[in-house]
Parts: sequence; structure tokens; C-alpha cells
Amino acid sequence: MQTAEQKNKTEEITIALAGNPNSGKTTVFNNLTGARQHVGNWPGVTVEKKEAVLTHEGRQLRVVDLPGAYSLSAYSAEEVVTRNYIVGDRPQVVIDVVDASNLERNLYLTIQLIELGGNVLLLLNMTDVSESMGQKLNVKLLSELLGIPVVSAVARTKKGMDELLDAALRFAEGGAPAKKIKISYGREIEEEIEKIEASIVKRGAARGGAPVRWLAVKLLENDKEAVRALSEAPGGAVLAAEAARSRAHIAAIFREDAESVIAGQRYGFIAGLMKETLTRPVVELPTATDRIDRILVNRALGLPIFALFMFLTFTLVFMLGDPPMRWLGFMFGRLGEYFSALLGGTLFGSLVVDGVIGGVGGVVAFLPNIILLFLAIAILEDSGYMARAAFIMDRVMHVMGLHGKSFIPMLVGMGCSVPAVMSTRMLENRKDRLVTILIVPLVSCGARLPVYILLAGAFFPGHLMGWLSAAGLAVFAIYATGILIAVVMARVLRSTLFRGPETPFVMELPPYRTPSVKSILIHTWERAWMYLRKAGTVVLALTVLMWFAMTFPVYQGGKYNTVQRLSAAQRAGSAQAVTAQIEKQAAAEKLEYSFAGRFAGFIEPVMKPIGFNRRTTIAVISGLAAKEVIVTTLGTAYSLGGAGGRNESLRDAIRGDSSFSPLFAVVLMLFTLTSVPCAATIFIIKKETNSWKWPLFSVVYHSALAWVLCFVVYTAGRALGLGG
Amino acid sequence: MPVTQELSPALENYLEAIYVLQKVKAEVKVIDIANYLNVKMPSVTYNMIKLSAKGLIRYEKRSHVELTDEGDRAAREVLRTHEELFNFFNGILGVSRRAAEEDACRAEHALSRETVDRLVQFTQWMAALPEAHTFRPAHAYAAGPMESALLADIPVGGKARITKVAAAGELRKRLIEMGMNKGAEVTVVRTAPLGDPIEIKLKGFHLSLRNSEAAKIEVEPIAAGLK
Repeated sequence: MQTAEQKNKTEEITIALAGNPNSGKTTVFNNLTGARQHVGNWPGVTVEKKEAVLTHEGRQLRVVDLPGAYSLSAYSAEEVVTRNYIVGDRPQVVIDVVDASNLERNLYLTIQLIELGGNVLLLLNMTDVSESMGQKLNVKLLSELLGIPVVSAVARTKKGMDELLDAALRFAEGGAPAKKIKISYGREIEEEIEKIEASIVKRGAARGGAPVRWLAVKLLENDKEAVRALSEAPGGAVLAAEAARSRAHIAAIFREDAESVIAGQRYGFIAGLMKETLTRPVVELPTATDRIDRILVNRALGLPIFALFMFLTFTLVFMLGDPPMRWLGFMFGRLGEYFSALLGGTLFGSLVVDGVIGGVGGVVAFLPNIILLFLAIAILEDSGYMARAAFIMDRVMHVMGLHGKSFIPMLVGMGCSVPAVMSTRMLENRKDRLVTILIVPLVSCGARLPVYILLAGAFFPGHLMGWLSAAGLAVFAIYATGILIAVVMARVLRSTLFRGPETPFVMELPPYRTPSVKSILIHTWERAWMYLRKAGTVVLALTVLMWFAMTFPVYQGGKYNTVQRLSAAQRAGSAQAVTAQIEKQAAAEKLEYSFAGRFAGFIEPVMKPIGFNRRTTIAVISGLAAKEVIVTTLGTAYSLGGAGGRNESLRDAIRGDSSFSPLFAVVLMLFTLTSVPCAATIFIIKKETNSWKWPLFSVVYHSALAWVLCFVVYTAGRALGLGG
Repeated sequence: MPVTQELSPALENYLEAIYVLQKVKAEVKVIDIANYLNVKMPSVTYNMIKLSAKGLIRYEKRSHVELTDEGDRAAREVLRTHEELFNFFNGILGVSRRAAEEDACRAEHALSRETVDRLVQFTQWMAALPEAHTFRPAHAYAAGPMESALLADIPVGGKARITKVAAAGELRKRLIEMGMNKGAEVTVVRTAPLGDPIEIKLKGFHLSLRNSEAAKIEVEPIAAGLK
């Protein structure tokens, strides 16, 4: 038979990691768990949840990474997740990771964790940094005064990780800590706390395992979540009234609202702790970070250096990403050739080659760029420069009603909208995040460039002032237009759907740190894998669907236009060329006969006012799979074969088409820029917002935006007598 | 201050040091005094010989130092003066602890016993006054814009103490949890290249906030002096 102790030994121990952002919590988690981590979402919110199971001294430990937070008030989803987890799931140990070189502010969270009643273990991280600053901390005394175990560590060099697990195990096995301290808020506030505590107990309103004293303090702080929870409990209304009276009483005495007084008392308590345990050097020397910042965020140099960094990051990513992208394209091309030789011109062969291999190839081709972009973002973020970038760019982004950090997704969007949407995770505020997600597709991505090049090259030949390429200028203008529309849309969205008080900019500028290779690789891998798994599967399905729509119903032929065929044969000259020309002609007719072609015909009345005919409509519909496909489809529709964009003939063909004009070229570019983003982007929006609401909204709003803009330009252009 | 004979400020400091060290150590050596006052050993030895000649200490070379009864009396007199002056500067005038300590150190050698005694009486008289008549903190009397400034008005390099956070909602919560509570001291480090967010330092870390946000924080500027 198992004794109680033996049974206890086999049970899993749950350890939660909490801490401020920049406290090195992620490094600690990565050190403890390595590649075993499981990434998901906390129920009901889009806050990332990471956990891993490991074995230490024969015991199974489940380590849960709680979201980084400065405090435990109910303002942000992250903080509510942390609170509810500690109160509801009761992990055996809560490890609070604190930055020893920034102890005072880090302990603010510690105090709240202790108040929350968890079994808190303090992990003093980065003790090497605090020592190098000349600070001396009496760890034993700090542990005594806080009434919790304290372990020193340097997570970056993995120092102290075993000690941490040992201490956590001992703590878990020893049950609750021997001594629980109470943070005193001074006589006046304590009186009010006691009153509310008594009232909560009397009415039996305490629920969900939260300590009564903590509930009372939260009521005094007028904490949204606590007030809501208690209002549903018996006697909730009376409690709320009592709490309001207590708050008014405190405000009258201190001439400051209760929430601030309580926060002030907490910081007062911490200041006392610091006085007893921490010896600071008499003279504070400028740190390495101070010296670096004197240059990097210098008033004159800051902006040029920032521009240089961004330029380097961007060109490097796309320069290094280009060769592997070509290899992958080549490999998938060969694979396609192999299968088309194997399966011949059958329908199944077409499905495998054009649908499956084309779809997978399209997704995988972007992988090198995605990996490199996220590698670059991870380095910028972990080194501490990202906060400086936001600091430098906030003045510009503020005009759009956004946070300085929104700049990065917009920049990434010039490469590809998919990683851009993924990178909005660094924005803490949900409104900022959604607005950024909705405007990022308006920044021209790399896949739209082939479309611009084709159209600009066809309709804006020649040079201005003898040297400035008109086509180049047109492409630049459409890029600039995209950014301008993004700015306007951000403002519009921010003042309509996402109205509300401006997000506070208040942001920590953490010390510069050498990024840990492991953290960066794990971070990059997570993102790349998510892209492959989520975008990959869905995009593949959609490519197959597009293939289906453009192939079925199968055109049985028979009504070739003899005149066209003859003239084509005359132009081509040889018998072989005649056959090829006829096949291309057939492909074009097949396309018009297909579901996609019929759909294009169906929406033609809507597209006609903005200058589109059936063939150009099919082309922009195919752009849903990926924007560069527009060029390929135009090639097919104009009977030039799939590779139309590569040679001069497509350019000549559209130039010769009566429905094309310089004006329509502008409209088509504008439509490519502003209409519904590609399928991969739509699905990544779904993934990142955790609902279908925003991707659907994105489809509708982009369609409407594109139509209205194109209509205005086309109508105005015609009124001015520009083109047909 | 002059009990039996005239002493130079330096000698008074040495007496004070020996007195304090005797409280914490069994035997006071020259090196202890040198460490305590942050001076070189030879100058300690030189002054020990002087104090010894005046009969205030017992001192033998390479051995410990000890106050004589007369030396003990003189040292206590110096210390009492020091404490009384400190109480007057800090308790009545509301000068910061550090400045009061430094000024007391200098003034204890310069003021006559008569002046110090009157200051003590004045301190007692003030303490008995009703609340409404107390002498209020410096900013309450300062003229012009110094009275109550906004954090947004503090120039780069300037220091200030927070007196009120006049923001509401999420902004208020963010500011307070980041340690911008009443009484916290902040230094303005720099302005962003485009002039808007500013960088400040508080509680040993760096924070950035917009000018519009800094305009919701009331502060009292702290003079840069007192080195």
C-alpha cells in the first residue's frame, strides 16, 4: 500500500513563473525547460501561455510561464490572467523573477504576489549586474523581512538554476511558508481594511480562494474585476457601498484617492526594505547603457542611426533571404515538372502540380524571409533597442493615434504582411494592436512589386528630366500612397471603431543586454513554426480551391475563333508555334469558362464603374491566393501562358488592349494595393486576433476602401479626359 | 563650544570622531580615525599629538587613543551643539536631512554658545505653536513658477520631486505602478530626437513618457546644488 508520503511524491508539482517585463523571466523559463515548451493561449484571451514539464530529482515539475506584468491591477488581460491563475489554480510555488539591478520597482509586483497569498519564492536575477554597479544586498535580511525564500541567480549564464529548482522543491514539499508577513498600510487605511474584511466575512462574500484581506484591499483600490466579482456575491451591493464610503474617507484624510495612497504605501514599504538591506554606492557612475544611449538616442544622431539600422535590417533580411527563396522556388519548380511529366496533362496532374505543389511552394518560399525577419526582430527586442525605436518614432506614430512600437509592424509590412501582423504582438494595448493589424496590409508588400513593375513599365515609359525613370517614380508613388492611406485609415479607425482614451505611452527603457542565442532561436522557431502550420495548411487549402475555381467546369472547346486562330498562326509563323498559340488561346477561353471566370462575369457590373473587364477581374480575384499571382493570371487571361510577366509580350498585350490605359494602370495598382489582402494574411489575422470577426471585417473594409478609392480616381481621371 | 580652551574646527572634528568610535569599538586606533574621517594616517597622528598636549586624550604611538575626562566633556559639548543645530535646520527650517547634517557640521565650529542656546529656545517655542502657524515646506514660499511646476517643464538634466499625479484612468495606473507616486524623485534625462517623448530616471531605472503625459504630473523642482 502507498503511504501518504509516497503518494505525495508521485504527484506533479506546479510552479508558476511571474515577473516584470525585462526581468529575464523568459531566459529563466528557457533555461529550465529548453525545447520542451508547449505554447498556447490562455482560455478566452489572446495572451500567450507557455508551459513545460520537466523532472528534477525524480519529481515531475510543471512550469507555467505567466505573462510579464508590472502590477496586478485589473487593467490589462495579462494581469488578470496572472491573478486568476494564482488564486484559482493554486500553483504550489510562484517564482517571482526580479531584476536585482532594478529592485525597487520590481518588488512592487512581489509585494502584490505576497498579498495575493501565493507561495512566493523570490528569484534575484542579474545579480552580476547589480554587483558591477557597486550595490550590496543583504539577501538573508531581505528574505527575513519579506518572509519568503530568496535565491540569487544569473539566468544569462545559467548560474543558480539548479539551486532555484532545489529551493522550489523544498518549498513545495514543506507546504506553506513558516512566516507570512503583512504589509501595513498605516492606521487610517488599516481601519478601513478591517471594516471591509469583517463585512466580507460576515456576508460570506469571499469566493474562489482569494484571501479576504486581499479582496478588501482591492475593493479599496476600486479594482474593476474585484468589484464586479463581489457585486455578484451575497450582500454585494452593500459591500460596494461600504467600500465607496471607505474610499471617500481615505481620500478626505490624505487628499489623494485611495488607490494612489495604497500604491504610495506599498512603495513606502519597499523604500524601507531598501534602506535596511541595500547599500548603494555613494556616487553613481554612468552605466554602459547610459553611454550607449548618449549616441543611439542622441538628439541629432538618433534619427539617422535609427534609419540606418532599419535600412540594414531590412536589406539584410531580403538580401540573405533571396537566394534560399530562389532555391526553394527552383526546387518546387523541378518537383512540379517531375510530376507533370509523370502524370501528364490530366486533371489530377494539374491538381497536383498547380494546386498542391504550387500552394505549398508559395507558402514555403516565404519561409527564409520570415525566419530572418523574426530573427532580426528578436535581436532588436532582446537587446533593448526596440524600446528606443519606439521612443524615437513615437512622435510620428502619435499623429496616427498609435504607439511608437506600431512602427515596426509597418516596416516589416514592406516585406510581407504575414510576419507584420504576427509582429504586432509586441503592442500591449488591444486597440493599438487591432488598428495596426488593419492598416499593415496597406503598406505595399514585396509580392505586390511584380504587379507594379508590370503596369508601370507598360504605361509609364521614358524618363523625366532626362534621367528619372517614370516607371520607377510611379512605383515609388504607389508605395508612398499606401503609407499615406495607412496613416489616414489609422486615424479614421482610431476615432471611430477604436475610439477611447489614448493609450499611455509610458514605457520602460530597459538596459541594453547581449541577447541570448537560445532565447532568440526559440522565439524565431516558434514564429516560423506557427507560420508553417497555420498559414501553410489554410493557404494550401485555398490554393487548391482557387485551382478548382479556375479549372472547373472543364471547357470542352470547339468554338475557337477562327479569325483569331489564323491571325495568331500568321504571327507565329511555324507549325509548332501555331500549336502553342492555339493552346494558350484555349487556356484563356478555359479560364473565362471556369467558375472563377463566371464569378468575374457575375461581379462585372460592380467592377465596370472602376474600369475593370472580365479578364482583369479574374486576375485580381486570383490575387487572393497571393498578390504576385495577379501577373500570372493576367498572362493566362491574355493568352500568353503562365510566364507572361517574365517577357515583354504581356506588357505589349495589355498596352494594346483597349480597356487598358495609363489611368486604368493606376487604378489597377491602387486596387492591388488597397483591396483584400492575400489569404495568408487573412488567416494570420484570424490566428492573431483569435476570432473570425477581424479577418471578415478586414475583407469587407478593404474591398470597400479599394472600390471607393478606385472609383474616385477612375471617375475623376475620366472627367479630366485622362484615358478611356 | 569652547569649554576650557579654544579648539580649531579640525580638532573638534577629531574629538567628535574619537567619541563616536569609542561607542562602537573597544579600542580606537589611529587607522580607525583615519577611515572614519577619510583622512591620511600621518595627519591623524599629528593631530593626536596636539590633542594629547592639550590633555584631552591619552595617546601613545602605535597604540590606541582614549579620551580623558576633560576630552569626553569637550566632545559631548561639540556633539550636543551639532545635534541642536541639526534639529533646528531640519526640524524647524525643513531643510533636507543631508543639507542639515552638512550645515550643522560647519556651523557648530563657527557659532557662539549664546547663539546656539537661543536657537534651542526658539526650537522649543516653535514646537509649542499650533499647527496652523508651522513653517511650511520651501515650495510654499518660493516665488514665481517654482512654486508648483509640471514635469513637462523641467529641463533636461533637472531633478524634481512628484507632488501630485493629476492623470486619470489607465495612465494614472501605469504611472503609479511604475513608481511615480507622490514624493518620488525623478531626473529628466533627455528628449527624443523629434522632441516628443521624454526620458526620465527614477528609482534607478529609465522610463519614457509623452510630453502630454508629463504635463499631468505636478512636481517641485529640486535645486541641483548640495554636492
